[in-house]
Amino acid sequence: MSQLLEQNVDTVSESVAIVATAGNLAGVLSYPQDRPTIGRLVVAGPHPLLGGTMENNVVRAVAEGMAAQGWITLRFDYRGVGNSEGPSMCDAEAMQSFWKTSEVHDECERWTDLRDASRWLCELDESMQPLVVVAYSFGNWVLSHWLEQNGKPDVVVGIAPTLDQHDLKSLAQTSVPKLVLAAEADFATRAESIQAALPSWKNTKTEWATDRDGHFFRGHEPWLCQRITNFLSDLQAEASP
Amino acid sequence: MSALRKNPTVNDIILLTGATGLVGRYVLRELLRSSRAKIAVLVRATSEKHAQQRIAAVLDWLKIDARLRQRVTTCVGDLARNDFGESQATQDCLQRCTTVVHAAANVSFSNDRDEELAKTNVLGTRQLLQQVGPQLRHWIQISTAYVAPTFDDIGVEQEAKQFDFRNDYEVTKAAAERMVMAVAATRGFALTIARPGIVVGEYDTGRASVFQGFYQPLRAVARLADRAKKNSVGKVRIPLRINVSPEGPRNLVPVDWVARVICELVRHGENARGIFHLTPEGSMQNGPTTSRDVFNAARSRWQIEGMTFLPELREKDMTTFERGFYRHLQQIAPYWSGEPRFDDRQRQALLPHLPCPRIDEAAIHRLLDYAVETKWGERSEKIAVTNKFAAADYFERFLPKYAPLSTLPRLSNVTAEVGFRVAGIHRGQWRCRLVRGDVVAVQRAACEGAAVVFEADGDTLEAIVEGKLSPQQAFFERRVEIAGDIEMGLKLAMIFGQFIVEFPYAAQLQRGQTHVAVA
Ligand SMILES: NC(=O)c1ccc[n+]([C@@H]2O[C@H](COP(=O)([O-])OP(=O)(O)OC[C@H]3O[C@@H](n4cnc5c(N)ncnc54)[C@H](OP(=O)(O)O)[C@@H]3O)[C@@H](O)[C@H]2O)c1
Repeated sequence: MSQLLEQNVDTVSESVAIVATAGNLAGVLSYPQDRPTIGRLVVAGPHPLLGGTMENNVVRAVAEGMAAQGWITLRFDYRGVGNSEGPSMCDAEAMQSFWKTSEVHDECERWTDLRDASRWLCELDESMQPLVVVAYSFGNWVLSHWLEQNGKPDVVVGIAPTLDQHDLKSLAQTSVPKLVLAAEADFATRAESIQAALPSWKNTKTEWATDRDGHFFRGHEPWLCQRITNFLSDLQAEASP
Repeated sequence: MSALRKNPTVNDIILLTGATGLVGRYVLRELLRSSRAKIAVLVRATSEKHAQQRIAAVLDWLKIDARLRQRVTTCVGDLARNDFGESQATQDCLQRCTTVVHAAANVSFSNDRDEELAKTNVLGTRQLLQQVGPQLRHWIQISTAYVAPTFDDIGVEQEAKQFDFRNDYEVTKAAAERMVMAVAATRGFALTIARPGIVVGEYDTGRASVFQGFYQPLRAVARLADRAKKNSVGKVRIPLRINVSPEGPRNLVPVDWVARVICELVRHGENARGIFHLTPEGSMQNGPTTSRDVFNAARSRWQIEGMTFLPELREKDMTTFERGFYRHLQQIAPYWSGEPRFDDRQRQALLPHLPCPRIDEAAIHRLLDYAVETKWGERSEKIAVTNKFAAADYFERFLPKYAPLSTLPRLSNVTAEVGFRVAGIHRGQWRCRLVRGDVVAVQRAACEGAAVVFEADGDTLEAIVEGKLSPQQAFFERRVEIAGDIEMGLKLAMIFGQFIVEFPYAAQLQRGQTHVAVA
């Protein structure tokens, strides 16, 4: 079941229903028109209680921007968000807990949403091309959980990882090539935390976003796509003989 | 038996719990219409004023006129709290009531909520029993037919004894029944146990305030249908095999009938001692509603093809699509797979003039139409708004009026001083003080000094408060800026966003024209 959303000069976007453990998830698939794709890319977005939908500026821009670069991309709403099935997080108990601790008790279970979305994309596009996961904000935690549970993306990109709030151990320790786009003046993570932690992260390239609207990158989305594209092209160049 | 004992009079006070819920609100309406007694309603609220506002919203929803409203008094009480009944007003109600209709309950079917369920359904009932005064003559316990002992797959109107209940909800409802029975035996008041089947919306209109249980699979089907593409003849194909017997009974009962029966039981007083099943009649013409009726109605409602019955469908043979569908129904699974029939001879003998209307396909259509119209409860209360959009009206009238009716007061740890700076045609600054979830003050004032200030132009504010644009999305699109504590600002955006989902503001109004905003 899919529905054509947009057809730009370069890319096509379709709304799709992703069959997932938590119920069907709503997603948008974007891919280049009339040219073969160069890889598969899934975006894991911010926290549902902080406006984390697939329409978030970073999530949407990365998915569409990378599709224009030749990738087949999938962005999706976590369970209970937008048209995705599952209980909404917006009940009084969850909101109270989030107000106090910035956490909701079962939020990390969203890792299965990411797993299922990635699996769905890989089943759809059996090209065996690399699978890249781009995680933004809370999405980094979701990604870290998936890696802990044996998730196997080929490349990961962490945008504004929430180091002060979440334990991103598995993300840090995976030997999968990683790009971290860290934001200066990020309300969610102090620069010192990133500076202290990142040197020990395995196989990681870090780039700092200075004066790019802190955690939110509003108006700087093309810069994100540019950094990701450069990183992926470099990896490809390194890999080719 | 004296007339007074049989029919509550103007001198009686009926204490009703659960009046904000589906069953309770219809019982309230029926009690107001059919008796002359005063009705004291026990409501969860943060203050007396909040309780009154919650009940006023229910009475508005029920369209109860001012004359009947005078007979309603409210008192605050959360049955699950240790300090239940500490306020003077609540004590007064508890001490003076002569009849109790106890409809409040935690109705969650989730099996990881046993503590919460026990707190309200068992301990809460005990607290209520302990605190009602010596005037009490008649207690009507609203239970559920699903705790009935079954013989040959027929639930009978007898004490709940077995222990193989379907979920913790039933365990706690049965425990409450047994406890009230024991107390009634020692204290000597008359006890009626009313056990409804699956309660659905009003028979004639399909109206309801809650869309759980029966509605859940239909909502899932509706979602699939909405997403599927229509073929050339306008039908949608849903490749779903329904794994239940098409002829299996569904014990659906309309809420207005349930309420009428409960009020009749109140009216019968001591004559109504015993256990009564409020379930479809065994003798009903054409039998009770079946799964076939339910899914036929869904098929025709959404023009669906491809949905068939296959009772023997095993999980291992399901398609991924089907697994997704059934996973969604986990909580209601024990009821989904099959229901007993219920013997209701005691009720029929006492109230032969009140037969249960059959929920046939046409009635199911009405239920679905209402559910779809109100977006399955996402929009339930109707609020009349007469003004054109104006930021001042929103902040100074609408927000303080509806905030107490929303989820906000339940966010008891939320305290903040928030500013709103609006640019453009609706220019102005407002300050709002939230104290433990209560909006205690909203006034036109400079924003300086507020922990968080939201800045937007009037058009953006209008789109947000009408629910067309979420506050967070507006922020991501740079149509809203947050000054001050960003983290708190984002969390407040979540809270205001939820308020707007519950109470969207109606705009696009012609001046002077009354418009009904569905909130
Ligand atoms: N609906 C059915 O299909 C069905 C079937 C059989 C039996 N029943 C029984 O009918 C009764 C009413 O059910 P319903 O469907 O109307 O449920 P509902 O719509 O969920 O309403 C539950 C009511 O109980 C109140 N309540 C819950 N916890 C409370 C507490 N701790 N202290 C005070 N009040 C509390 C709620 O108040 P708030 O508004 O503050 O949450 C609400 O007014 C229940 O006893 C239920 O077991 C229902």
